[in-house]
Amino acid sequence: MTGKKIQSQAGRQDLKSVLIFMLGVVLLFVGDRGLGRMCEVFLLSSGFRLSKVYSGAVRADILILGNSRGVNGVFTPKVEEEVGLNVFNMSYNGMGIQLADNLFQDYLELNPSPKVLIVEVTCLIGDDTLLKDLKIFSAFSDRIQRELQKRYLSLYWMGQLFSLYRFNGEMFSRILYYKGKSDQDWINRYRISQERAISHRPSLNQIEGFGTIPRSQWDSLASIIEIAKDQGILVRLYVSPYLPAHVGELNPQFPHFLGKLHDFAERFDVELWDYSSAISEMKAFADPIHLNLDGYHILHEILNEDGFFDVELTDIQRM
Amino acid sequence: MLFTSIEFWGFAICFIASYFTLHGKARLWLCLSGSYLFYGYWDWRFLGLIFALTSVNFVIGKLLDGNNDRSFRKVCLCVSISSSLGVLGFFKYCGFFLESISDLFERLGVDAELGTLNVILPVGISFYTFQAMSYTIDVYRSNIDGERSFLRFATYISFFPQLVAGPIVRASEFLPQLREDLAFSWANLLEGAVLVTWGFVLKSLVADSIALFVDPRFGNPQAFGSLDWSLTVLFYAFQIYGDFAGYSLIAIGIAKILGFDFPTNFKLPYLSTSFSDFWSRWHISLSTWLRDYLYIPLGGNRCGKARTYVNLILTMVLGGLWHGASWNFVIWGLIHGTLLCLQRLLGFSKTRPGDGIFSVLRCLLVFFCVCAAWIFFRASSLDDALWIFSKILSFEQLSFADVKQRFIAVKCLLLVLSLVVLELFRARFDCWSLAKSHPALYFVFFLLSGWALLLGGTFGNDAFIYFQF
Repeated sequence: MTGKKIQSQAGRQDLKSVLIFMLGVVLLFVGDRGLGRMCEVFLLSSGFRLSKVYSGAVRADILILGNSRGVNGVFTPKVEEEVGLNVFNMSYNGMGIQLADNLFQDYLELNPSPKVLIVEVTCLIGDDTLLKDLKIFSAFSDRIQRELQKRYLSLYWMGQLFSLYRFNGEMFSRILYYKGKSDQDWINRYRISQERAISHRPSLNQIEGFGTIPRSQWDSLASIIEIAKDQGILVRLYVSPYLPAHVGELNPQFPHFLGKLHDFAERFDVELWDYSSAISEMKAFADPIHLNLDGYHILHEILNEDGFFDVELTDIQRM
Repeated sequence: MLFTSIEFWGFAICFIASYFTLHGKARLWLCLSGSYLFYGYWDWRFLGLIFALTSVNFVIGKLLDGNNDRSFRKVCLCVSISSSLGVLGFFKYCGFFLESISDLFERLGVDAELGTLNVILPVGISFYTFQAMSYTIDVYRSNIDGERSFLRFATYISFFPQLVAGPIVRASEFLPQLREDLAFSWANLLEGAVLVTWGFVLKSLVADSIALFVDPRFGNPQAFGSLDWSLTVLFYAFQIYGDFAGYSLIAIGIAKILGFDFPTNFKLPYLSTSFSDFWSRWHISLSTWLRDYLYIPLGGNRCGKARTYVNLILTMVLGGLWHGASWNFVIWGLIHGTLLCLQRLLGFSKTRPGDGIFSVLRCLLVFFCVCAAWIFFRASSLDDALWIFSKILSFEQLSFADVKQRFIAVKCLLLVLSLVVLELFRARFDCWSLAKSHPALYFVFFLLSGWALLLGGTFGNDAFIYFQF
């Protein structure tokens, strides 16, 4: 073989390899879009709480908003059974108040307004790292998209470039799991161990968390209340129980936080229902900051006695 | 610069492109400067350390080469080994020994204020010191000739793909390859890309996803029950495998793209049917290093049974200590040494053909023992490790409802099961020849890996576990 022939053969081999590589890239993107579309179908047909919000399938009289303490602080099936109203718990682990504000506005755009909004207000503490997981709904929410663009730009662009990347995360597992069933019975079912309950002391971060809530977080809560009031929705601020050791004498910032909450509720003319120290039994808790199902049953009796859910007889009639 | 970071891939692409446009010395200069840039990106202050270590070992290699005076050769070797071990000892173990002696005096009731030493551990120090030591010992043993080019030797010590977490490449394997001007080849690119992709799958899809379940538990052991801990230990076995084997594969893959053949570092370790089999499949570059430069010089199995057991235990304890300055690693090494001794004592060697169900049972037994030893390896303290054991053996909270982060647990289980199936497939079939006879399989592999990473990969996680060693 002459040198020229060998060179042209090598050139052809190079060209072929480059073409195969490009074909691979094209297939990667085409497959990504196709699989992404399939995931979207799963997403919108799931019984997962946020899927229901974004598919516009919620018909609720009472809407609950909050973080994991909201998830475990109101057990929807029990309330529905006893009160006879439609209750929808939109709380989600790690949801901060700014995100709650955005999701609440999305909810109102896509679903009929509830009559009552209960906000588990300890979501004022902590940040909005959940936003990263919410990229899964970014195709359905301009607000989430804007927030992502503002705070996690690379994540936003990855989600734009690859559809499948938006479905990367625990939330998609939940969406698949709740296909064809509701997730409203989601609550902790385990108990804190006795030794852990006895030895628990709030960490410095947890203590400081109650004392250092940025102004913007309070503004978000104010925004939720104002939007709800504009829509004629009754708002109740709610603090679900903590393990006594977590908010007792060892946590000097907690009373200060409660005081601020009282002032805030007064200023916005909303009710504050504080149950932070309502339960002292250890078996009622899954960990120092979350109730379990047993705990909710105990709490429910107290809530009922206090008329927390008596909205049909009193508040709604008032409206 | 992590292998999983965008900065690294920007650097790697520029490096690879420049590498193939240069030849001879210019290419070696590129390799060296690129590797120093890579290392300096972690912490530029340690560039001096790696340069000094390289210089000492290069000079000693030169002095040893062609010199037949036995006592002079011994002195040279001692200088080289003590300088390498001295560096390692100062940066890695000094604080630990001071603390341990202080503790000991305290227990004996003696008031001895030895103070503390807060020394930053240079990334990858255990890897490149071992690599440098192996070179000098090989020259001393006349297994290889001393390297004449400082540039080539410095490139061998600092070559960026394996600089910070191995595999520990021997001079006899790598230096001859550095002497050649390796040309670009599509076959190497394809093979390297397969290795890098599989490395990413192991790291980002398997190890980092499992880390989301495992890390919080080891951070707060008291908060979790028996089943929770059993799952955690099982998952950790696959996390560390995915993390370390993933890194090794990416390193070997990048080297392959550049034309170099690096040795395999992991060969389906959890399919081992004996403890010695496990060590011939797990972190092979370290275990063979320990065998060749520690176990055999100690006498290996040539000096009677009792001495063999002592040698085994000593080698494994030092191997444990190589991982880090902590009693947990010592105990981890001691457990493995003891298991190797027990295996010898009971005649529990490799599986014979036709063992069938027994080999499966042996495989499971080895896996459970390895998992138990991982508890010491991963726990933050000895107390934590013992607590985890007691929790697992308490058989309390055995319902899946007691497990926290159940969705992550299910994902981890699915990942582990998929990995086991794939490993069994790899054990049964020669994937390379399968792919060569059906090239479309490459497409299937890349596409499935890409989609799986996009959908299930965990990104933005911390460094590779072995960086801390």
